[in-house]
Amino acid sequence: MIRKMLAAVVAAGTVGVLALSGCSGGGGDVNAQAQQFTKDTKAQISFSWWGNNDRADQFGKAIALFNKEYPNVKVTRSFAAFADYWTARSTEAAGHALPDLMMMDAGYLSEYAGKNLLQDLTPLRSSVMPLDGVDDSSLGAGKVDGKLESVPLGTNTWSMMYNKDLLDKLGIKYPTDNMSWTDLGNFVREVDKAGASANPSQFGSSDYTDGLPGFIYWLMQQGKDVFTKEGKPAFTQQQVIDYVDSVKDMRTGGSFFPIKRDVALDPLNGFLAGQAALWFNFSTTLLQAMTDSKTEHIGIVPAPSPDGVDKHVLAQHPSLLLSVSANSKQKAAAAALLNFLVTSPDVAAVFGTSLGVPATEEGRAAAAKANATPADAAILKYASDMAPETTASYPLLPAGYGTVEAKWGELHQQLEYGQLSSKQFAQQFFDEMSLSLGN
Amino acid sequence: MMTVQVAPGAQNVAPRRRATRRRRDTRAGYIFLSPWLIGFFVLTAGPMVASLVLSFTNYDLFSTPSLVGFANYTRLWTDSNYLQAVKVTVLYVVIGAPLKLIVALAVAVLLNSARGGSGFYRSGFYLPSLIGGSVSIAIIWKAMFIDNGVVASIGSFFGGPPAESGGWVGNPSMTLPMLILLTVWQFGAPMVIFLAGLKQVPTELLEAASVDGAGRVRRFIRVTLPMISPVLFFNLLLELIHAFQVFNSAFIISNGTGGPVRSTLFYTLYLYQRGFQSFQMGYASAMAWVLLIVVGLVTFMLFRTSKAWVHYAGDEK
Repeated sequence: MIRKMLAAVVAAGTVGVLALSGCSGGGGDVNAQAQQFTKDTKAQISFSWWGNNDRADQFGKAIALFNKEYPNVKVTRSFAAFADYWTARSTEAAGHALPDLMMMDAGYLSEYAGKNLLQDLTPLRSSVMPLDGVDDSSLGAGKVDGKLESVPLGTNTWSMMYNKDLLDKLGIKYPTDNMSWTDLGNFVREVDKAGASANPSQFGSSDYTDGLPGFIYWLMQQGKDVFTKEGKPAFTQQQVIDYVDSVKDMRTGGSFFPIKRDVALDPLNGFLAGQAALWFNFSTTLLQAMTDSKTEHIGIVPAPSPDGVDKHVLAQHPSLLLSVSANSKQKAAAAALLNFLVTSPDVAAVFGTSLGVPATEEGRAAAAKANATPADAAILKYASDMAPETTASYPLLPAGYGTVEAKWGELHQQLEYGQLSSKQFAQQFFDEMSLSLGN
Repeated sequence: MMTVQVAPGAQNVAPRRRATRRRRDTRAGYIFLSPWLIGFFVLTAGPMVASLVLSFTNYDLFSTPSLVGFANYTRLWTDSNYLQAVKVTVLYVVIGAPLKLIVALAVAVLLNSARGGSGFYRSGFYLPSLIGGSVSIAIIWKAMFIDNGVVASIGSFFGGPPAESGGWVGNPSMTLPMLILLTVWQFGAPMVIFLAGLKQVPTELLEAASVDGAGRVRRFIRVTLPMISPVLFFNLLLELIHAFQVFNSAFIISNGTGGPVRSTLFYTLYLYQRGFQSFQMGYASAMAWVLLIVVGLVTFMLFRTSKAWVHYAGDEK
């Protein structure tokens, strides 16, 4: 009796679990759905993104604008912080229950596309998702194996930001857009010297070899490949050693903002706390730089070049992308919303540059006009100033890139605390890549 | 015993009716139990079995798991981060749990001998336990021990290192003490249990001991401690198991990294990183099962040794 009851309960439970995890496969013929889709089609779609409350308010406004054109599409929204966002998506992916439209990151794109979790959007460009005014070149960032798995919502470019207030106080000239890495080293030492007696003491920069994007930029400047077509590293351990050793004397000589304090300030850092002059990051983080360091006087120039090279090798990097999930039953409606968010100048006016530099000419104009916050203005100016030199294309990041980038940061911290040599750093980084990349 | 009214002249019907009735009772019992049973099988036992199976596979959440035998388990012993996580967690358990119990017992003894206001102090000391596991306390803890924070400023005022040298949070040798301090500070729950145990110690025994010339320390060691040993055993068990599973505080203080330089990379934190950040669910499941087995072994060994040092009142010995 008891055994029978137990068996029944277990069976019921198993069925329940199967139903939950189970098989809500793709949503029929996409093209047919797209052909039938009109401004009056009724649909309900889900849309998820990462970000803070400001961004949620902005998306609220953008979706209200969308609903003026498509009044019968109901959009349910959800958002979370970046790390939590990906935890939630990965569990949903396991159950084929991803949101219809979702924000995508370049570091995760290959992984999701490789697992057939995303819809190839190419066929929809002739119907619901024309992407009018978007350059084909910028769409390259959303392609995996020739399929349009994702569309960039905006772009940004690698850059060097500097705190003008701090440099003014110390009486040091601003960095320029034609410095070499050697010049930069001298600049950092100069700031250290002048800032040593300040309270709290001021520094030139944190160790700027601490992130993988910086290394990618360094490789691109030398015209080197970063990843192979198979998603494996195209660089050697020796190149990694050369890169981190290029600032070895400054690291061991205490010229950088102390790592102990960087760690203690996390999620801020020396620059964001207003105590270091320089920060290397993608251009759209200028807004964060101004907010966190509580000054609008932040300048932005390209990062230095190797000695003897007088041009920059800059590439548009997709700041954020949008993808339609393969399990969506409302792909046409989701793609229509995607098209609206990427191309509508009104949406660009709502967001400014906080999602990246808008993908269309009209979008950029609207962002510049509508709310010329100091950050928007500077980011747009940097984008247009650098346009002639923005000729390279950003490497396609292989599956597992997110894990590898995090590993670089973790190992670099050990390097800065003096627990690893640069050789061990390179060795362990390669170990992680062989485990995590391109699988 | 259940009594069954039997109608006259229906003697041979009664057993069957009794059986039906009992069956009906059983069924009702299971229906009332079903919320718990469903919860247990679907939310606890099911996932546990699943994770045991997954621990022998390579599973990234997206694709079908593929069997790899014991590879996940053997990989553990060559993974330097795993060994670091074991080291950090063992240190935390071995230092943190006993320290917390000592503080809890000391405060309980003080409160037990207090004449007035013990209710107030008891609540006051218990308060950190209520909020201690919460996210907000970990955030405040971090703010206190950060670069240029309260603790660093006080330290430098009394001649310690300058306030702007990373605080405890930035110094790998200080992060574990900081987290141990956080757990020790939450001594309220074991303290309340100790206090209840201390109230049970018969005063006639203590009086007899003092008549025989035993001092305070001797009375405590020879009479009080043996008398509260069951409570001590219970607290020790609970705190050890609890300490093995520490996660929240380290996750928040290191922003989920286990840093600086892996000094707060607790077992469960590393498990979380592997499972939900690198999507290596099979590997994470193997880690979870090793932890379960270790905690099980520790518990088993404690029970075995308990015969030697735990005294229950009314025991023959």
